[in-house]
Amino acid sequence: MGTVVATPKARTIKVDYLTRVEGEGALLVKMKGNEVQDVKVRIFEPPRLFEAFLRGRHHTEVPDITARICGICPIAYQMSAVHALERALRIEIDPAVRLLRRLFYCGEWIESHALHIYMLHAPDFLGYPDAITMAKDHPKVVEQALRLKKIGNELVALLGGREIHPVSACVGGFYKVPTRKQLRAIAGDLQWALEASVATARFAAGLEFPDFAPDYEFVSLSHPDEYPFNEGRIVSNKGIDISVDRYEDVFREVHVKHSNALQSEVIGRGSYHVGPLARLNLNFDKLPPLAQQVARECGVAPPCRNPFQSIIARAVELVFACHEALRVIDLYEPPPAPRVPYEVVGASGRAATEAPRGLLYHRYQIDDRGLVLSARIVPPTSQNLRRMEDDLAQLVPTLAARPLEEVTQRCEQALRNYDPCISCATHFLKVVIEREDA
Amino acid sequence: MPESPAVRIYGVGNRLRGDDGVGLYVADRLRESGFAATSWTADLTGLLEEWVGAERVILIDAMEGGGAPGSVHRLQAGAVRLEGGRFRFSSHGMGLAEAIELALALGRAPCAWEICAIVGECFGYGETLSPAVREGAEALVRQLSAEIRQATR
Repeated sequence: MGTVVATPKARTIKVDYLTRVEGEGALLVKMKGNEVQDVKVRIFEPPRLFEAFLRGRHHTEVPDITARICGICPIAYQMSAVHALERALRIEIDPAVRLLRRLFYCGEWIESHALHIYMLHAPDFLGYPDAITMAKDHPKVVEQALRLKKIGNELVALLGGREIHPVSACVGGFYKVPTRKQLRAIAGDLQWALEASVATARFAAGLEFPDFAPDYEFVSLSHPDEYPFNEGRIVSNKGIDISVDRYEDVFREVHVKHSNALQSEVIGRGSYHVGPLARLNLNFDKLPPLAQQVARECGVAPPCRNPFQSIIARAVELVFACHEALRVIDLYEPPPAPRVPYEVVGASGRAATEAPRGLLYHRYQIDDRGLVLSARIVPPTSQNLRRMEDDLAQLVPTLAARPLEEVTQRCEQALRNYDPCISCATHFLKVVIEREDA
Repeated sequence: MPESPAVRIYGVGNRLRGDDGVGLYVADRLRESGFAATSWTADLTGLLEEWVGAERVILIDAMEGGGAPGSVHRLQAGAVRLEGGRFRFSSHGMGLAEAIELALALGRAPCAWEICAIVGECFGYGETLSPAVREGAEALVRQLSAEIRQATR
């Protein structure tokens, strides 16, 4: 839903309720002539206060509570939580558990990326208002999407106990791990998914993309040996190379009046970009040869700075996730125990993992009873919010000659480049009470 | 156990959001009474595969507005145009109306289907149904139980 107000000199694009994004947000762009005077991505989804109500909870509850932040990316929250707490408590997980956690994340990337590519973003490129309308003309495309998502969901359920808000991940490992036979049973579906992912990338590469390539600061994890999920340093294409412990020295969150979600910036520099396009640009050499080949064929080998091509980057990551899942299943031998014992001490720890939408940072401090004293959670959508506004400020002037309805649609499409998860972004609100004396 | 295998019953919703759990409640109660019914908490698009082969599908969910809390609307396929906003839309996936529309677009809708929509009152956080909604749910359980028994005679 949106309204456009046009006068000869001033135009306002107002979308009261963004569609095909997860959560509740709105958009406002004010223009005077060809000049953008104001851009606001307004998040009115109510704040959800997770950081506050985690205080006083036992640390073993944190993975299950934070998983409720999001129904599409619960594993990301669980992984960032358990890794932060394990770093605090100096817990070394079994190598087999490490592999299982990569497989767990593969499941989430598959279902989240498939959902976004086909059901949320492709309609923009093909000129449909939604995936249901698109399904009438492109049933095979949507059928493929549903099957890919189902396979991702099944992998999540196999490791996590269920597909929404899985229950198996815990500090030290998992409550229960699958057998080799159970994992091998899904290999056939994953092989189909790998082929479908390559087809997805080719489908995405055939879409039309506007010519738009801002000078992004891409930020992601980087690992010496693998495409990153759960471990690595935080790097950027503009010189950042830090351990996760220094995240808050380099990045900060800012509260803006028009949004219930905080916005992030590189201190002293401004907005930055996390997510598949950032990961691809910063970790291309860590993709398996097949995914690299598909990326080159589909036109997103680095440097790729067109955010509209993030749909292709997501598809390349689908190829990677299916390939990685098959690799892990082939290697997997169950660990001696699903989780390791550990001693509880007062400590603090930080971790960042790569959610489908980008870097997800957690910090926890616990006391010597294992109770949470403080929590800090910075989701990828929060980190992208300012960059989304900057994208619009740069994009809209290039569309000045177009009808306002078209400009509005392009702005919404530009926001959907980031696959925003607004429910994740509204985890925090700082409340200040000013009292006037009688 | 009286049941009609050609009829599949699915209760959908969210147990943690008050009256949004009423569909799951009705499915639970039908199972307690010995009928085959599924409390579906997974991605609703999964239903498109789940109901393959069913002659008739009954879907039970809460709805917002449309009458007094606890009142039941039985919406038959083809007799009413679904509006996505009438159901509690999960921001993490498709709502029930959207899932049905998708099934129709893909030619995957069951031969006959209906939605039993119970008007909810309170959709805030919590696991308890409002008294009027619980009463409406129990009435629907009795109604569906009688229909299934009649169909299996």
